[in-house]
Amino acid sequence: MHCTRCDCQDPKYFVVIRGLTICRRCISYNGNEGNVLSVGNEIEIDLPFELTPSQQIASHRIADAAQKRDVLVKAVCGAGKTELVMETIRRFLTEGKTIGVAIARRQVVLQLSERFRQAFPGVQVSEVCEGHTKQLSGQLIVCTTHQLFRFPNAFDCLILDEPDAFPFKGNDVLHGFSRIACRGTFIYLSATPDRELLMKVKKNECELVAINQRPHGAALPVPHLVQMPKTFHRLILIAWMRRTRTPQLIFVPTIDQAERLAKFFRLKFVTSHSEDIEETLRQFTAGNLKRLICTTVLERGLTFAHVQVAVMSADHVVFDASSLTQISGRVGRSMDDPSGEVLFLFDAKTKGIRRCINDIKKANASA
Amino acid sequence: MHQRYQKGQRFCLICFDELSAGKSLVDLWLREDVICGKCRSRFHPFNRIAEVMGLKVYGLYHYDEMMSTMMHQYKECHDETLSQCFLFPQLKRLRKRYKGCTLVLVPSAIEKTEERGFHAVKTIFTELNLPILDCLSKDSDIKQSTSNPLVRHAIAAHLHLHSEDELIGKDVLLVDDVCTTGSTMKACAELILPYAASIQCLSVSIHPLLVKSKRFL
Repeated sequence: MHCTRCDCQDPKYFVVIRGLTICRRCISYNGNEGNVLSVGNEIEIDLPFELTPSQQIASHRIADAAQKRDVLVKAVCGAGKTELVMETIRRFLTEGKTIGVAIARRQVVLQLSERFRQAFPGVQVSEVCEGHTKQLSGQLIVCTTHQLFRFPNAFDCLILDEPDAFPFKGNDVLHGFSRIACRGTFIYLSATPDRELLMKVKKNECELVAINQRPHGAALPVPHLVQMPKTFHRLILIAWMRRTRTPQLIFVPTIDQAERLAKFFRLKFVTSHSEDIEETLRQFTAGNLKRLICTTVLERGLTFAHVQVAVMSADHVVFDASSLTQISGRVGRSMDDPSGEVLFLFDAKTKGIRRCINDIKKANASA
Repeated sequence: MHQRYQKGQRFCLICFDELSAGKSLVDLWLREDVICGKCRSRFHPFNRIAEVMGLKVYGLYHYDEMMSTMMHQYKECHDETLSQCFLFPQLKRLRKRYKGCTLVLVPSAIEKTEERGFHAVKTIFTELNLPILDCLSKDSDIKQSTSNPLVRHAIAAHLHLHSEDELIGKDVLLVDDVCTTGSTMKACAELILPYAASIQCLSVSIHPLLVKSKRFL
């Protein structure tokens, strides 16, 4: 335990006030800022479950490598990427360094910061995203990639979640933000790394840590493919909805289609334009809503227990291989219920569907 | 809440020296304290009633350089632990003296309290174990030390009283941390006066200049 401002190590100077440890030796140097200074003390991870041996090995490998160079963590959906980087976060925070987690989706920022808050009791976690931009200081910053411009040269390590996803993918402005914000190393977390990242690994600029197995050891669910003319899609969906258990998530490619389908089935729907996203998702997680229609806003990062998934018009252009892999990765994420069903409905097989199936089968085979 | 004084604590809260440093034999054996003798001797006790603007205020210390440094560290640098050192040696006496009273706090601006994370006056006086009635509020943060005397008297306009009913028939003890001109205390007392059965005033520190010019009671 040592103070990050005056490097004091004597425990008699430290007091704990409302969960925050502060150093009283240098407290009067606070000047007019009036901020409570946190002490870089030994931080512990508090998880409700134990990591599997393979997860532990991987998490220590990441933590070791992140001190020196960039790391690409290639893990299948639901492999526990968040848990894998917790060891790294713990080490950086213990050393009094700043670490940030940048995510493309606002919804995931809120869910993830809550998980970090539970896992690191006593650490000040700040979420920074649209609507939460007042509190910019904190030991651990969880933000959307759009907010990275607020932290120039701030992070010793920046964890980029899903750098291959919209809107980060191919956006030069956001790439620039992330380069300016991070003065140390990057950790990329992805289930479906794009060619750019894989090239980095090939050029040996970046260390690769791959995990092809979920913590419960069960195989990834392989999607059922149903190729039919468009006319029959709704009929098949009705049959699927009756046959499989709830809760069910139905993915559609466009907002317009989400609205029409929701009207047809009298279900709630979630798109990037709906205002009551948080409330709807809360109801869905609580089990008050059995079925939910959504666009790709929910394709990544979120965890719903026991969920089953159907994809309407899986041949649409928005559903590329990585997007489809992520969607099928929503299923079977909880430890006690690793099974689940994924259904792809389309009328023409695309490259994306073929590659998604291949990727999942390959990961299952190598696990 | 933060850590309170513990029996096993061995060091001074201010200089972090041995707790026994600079203490007389009597103090060492009979009087517990949270700060060492050297630091305690730098506080200048007042312990009298002073008449401030026609109001009888009981002051515990002179508001001198030491006191203002400590108040700055406590209130501006948010050193919540320091709150114990103001009342500690006199706690027993004060509890006896003000038995049966209801505490009313001289308000600080809400933004200030939120920024600190604790109520500066309340934290000092919770040790008295009296029921606390936070029925006064201040609506804007006017910097008193920088404003001129005319502005200082206008503070009454920024103070508001709510939940008056709970005050009726109570013996009120009005408390504050610093009393420099007494205008805030006076304004608060005037707001409470129509409801309370009796009012007593207690301030941690009183400005010596102000006291000297007045008659001691």
